Amino acid sequence: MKEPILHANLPLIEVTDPIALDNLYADPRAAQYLLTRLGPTAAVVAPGEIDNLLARMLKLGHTPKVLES
Amino acid sequence: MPRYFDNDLPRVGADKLKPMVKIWGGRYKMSKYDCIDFIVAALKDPARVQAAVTRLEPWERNALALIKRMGGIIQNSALKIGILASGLHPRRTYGCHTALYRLTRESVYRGLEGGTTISDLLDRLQHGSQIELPQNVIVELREWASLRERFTLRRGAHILEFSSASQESDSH
Repeated sequence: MKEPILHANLPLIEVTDPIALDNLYADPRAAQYLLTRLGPTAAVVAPGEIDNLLARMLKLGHTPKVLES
Repeated sequence: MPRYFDNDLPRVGADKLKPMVKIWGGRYKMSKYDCIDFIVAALKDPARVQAAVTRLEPWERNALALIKRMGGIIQNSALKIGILASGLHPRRTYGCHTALYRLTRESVYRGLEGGTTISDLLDRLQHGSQIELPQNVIVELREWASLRERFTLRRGAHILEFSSASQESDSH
């Protein structure tokens, strides 16, 4: 059995409603900052792009909570 | 009902206010905002108001009505003191002695990101208000705060990757 792999310091986005993440993926400018979707309510953000994603989300009218970890 | 924002109020220039201030016993050489402060202060003296109001021209009555409303904004603003206390950014300033602040979704968001909680914000608004906060204001502020909970961005999350779901369940 393979050992679990720890990915440290990954920029991540979490949503309470999967549709919210679907909508974010539907916006090409926001989607370009999303690296891979981990599940219905979480996605990995491209490294170094979290501020760009934040700016885009604010422009779209979202007000995301920003946490350091 | 106090007015919180003065976007739609007519403007009164210093040229109109200064003669009125002179009638009310003030100095002619005052800035527009000093004139307004003087008249607002004078309005607290009912005898003075009664004596002067009969001598006012129609435009002066209009200006006085406007200043009364502005006095209402300054004295009753539920938003001004609370936002000052919560460190939110002003959207509009007025005059050199008073400042009006506007609550927007963005300013509430910045306040929450700065560490203020929605309860703190509502408490401060209520503390600074002479009237009970309107329900629609409370509901709207709570709604804005809840929007922030929909998305969470984590700058440095740690994720464990398992090769299968069974491996994940075994790890518990």
